[in-house]
Amino acid sequence: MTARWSPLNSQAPAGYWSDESGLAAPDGELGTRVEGLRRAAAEACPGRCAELISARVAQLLGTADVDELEQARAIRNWHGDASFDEAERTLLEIVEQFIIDVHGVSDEQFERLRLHHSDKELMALLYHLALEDGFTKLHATMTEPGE
Amino acid sequence: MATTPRMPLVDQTARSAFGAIRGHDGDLSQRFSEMYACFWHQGELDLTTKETVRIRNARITDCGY
Repeated sequence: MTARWSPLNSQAPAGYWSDESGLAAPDGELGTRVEGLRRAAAEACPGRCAELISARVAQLLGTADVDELEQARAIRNWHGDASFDEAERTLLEIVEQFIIDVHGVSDEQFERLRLHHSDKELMALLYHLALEDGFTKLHATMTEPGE
Repeated sequence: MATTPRMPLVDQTARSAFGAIRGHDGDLSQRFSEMYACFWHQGELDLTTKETVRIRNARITDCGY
């Protein structure tokens, strides 16, 4: 397992996305391909975006552990935290809407996100968001509350 | 659910909105295609079970596919 990191201060260290996925990849080709897609999407996200997405998804779905909550307290309160730039604020806004009701993500929100990212970056961000949502829910389904 | 892509199309012949835009990142697109093909052609579950889950998921999320 790699050392802990703070999503507010740095990008995840090499190997993080494969080592701390929360679920061990099942044996076989499918598991390898799923993990490969997940890792590639996270690593293709610009800056600390992947880390912000992961932390906020875990918070919203109630799977963040105590340490993660402590580390990511600022992310939870991003609305009033000036340390997040406009691109990150727009991203976190969409992350929240995606989790609450994906149909509520508006054209206006998406256009604002496009102001800050290339189309290639957008694909990485959205893949990572969708995969984090899915795997976090999978983890919650397969584990006891509080684990 | 909206099926009009919010990004420029990469593949004009794609059968779905997602398919038309996912080529913006060729590496992720390739990885997704290989993973998805692997999911449908391999694994422990039979195709009927997989398709039942897919259809139910699409209905709940108002997906057009």
